[in-house]
Amino acid sequence: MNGNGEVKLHIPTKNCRRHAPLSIEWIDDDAMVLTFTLHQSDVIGLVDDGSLRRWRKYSSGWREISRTRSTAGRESFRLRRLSAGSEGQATLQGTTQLGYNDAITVSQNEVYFGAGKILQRWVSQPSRPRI
Amino acid sequence: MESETVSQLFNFGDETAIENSLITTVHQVGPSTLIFGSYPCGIHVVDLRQRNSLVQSGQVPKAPSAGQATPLCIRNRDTDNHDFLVCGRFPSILLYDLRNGLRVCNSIYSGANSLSSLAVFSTERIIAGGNYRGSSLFF
Repeated sequence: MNGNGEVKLHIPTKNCRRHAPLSIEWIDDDAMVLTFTLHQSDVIGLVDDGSLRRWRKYSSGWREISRTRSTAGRESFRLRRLSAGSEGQATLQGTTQLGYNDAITVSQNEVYFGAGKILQRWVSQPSRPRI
Repeated sequence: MESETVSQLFNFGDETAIENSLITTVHQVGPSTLIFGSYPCGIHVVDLRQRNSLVQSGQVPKAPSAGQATPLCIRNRDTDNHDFLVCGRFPSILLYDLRNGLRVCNSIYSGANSLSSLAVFSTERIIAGGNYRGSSLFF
């Protein structure tokens, strides 16, 4: 990993057609993204808590610019079991993902996504300039 | 700056007969038509022009012994806005034509246990990936 948080990999396999090093840049290492899509150069991801988040690339790196309200719990988006860890701390175990592998689709200004029981439409509109 | 609004198109929680369903995949097949799949075996059509947007629901055919036949991926078959393909937790790829409603028009048996994703390669070829006896599979 270099100083910018980028990971550079080189895969020296004999049958590999690509010999240039691959550069991996983290967008958000806190989010557990179930599926994602591209929308107007932004990355939009459906996250395991049921929220939809939008990341945009700036010169300083990727930044989350918006998110919808989470639907976790209310929609039983994931089943979670809490148990006591070895030092008495509560730890998250036995997470069961319900298989939302492709529940997102985009059109020009709209994103449609399903989280739990709810199908939602996320509309992005350029706001009017202030006069 | 942009403003963003979220609106609800459909909620399984409002439908007592299918309130335990969960949305698994969403795909836009035309300018005003969405198709989405749900656990355990649902497939649904949404007309975005209508106020009550859910216009049709059906079930993916499944073997009597199977507990579910959950759609996991929906793709347009070609540039038409009425043909689409469905794969999921069942061994076949299903072809639908919206002009016939949610009745399966054709199917391709793969032998896989489950197909998680598919892509239409050309008018004659489809690539699908999934699981065959516990191993990854592409065909």
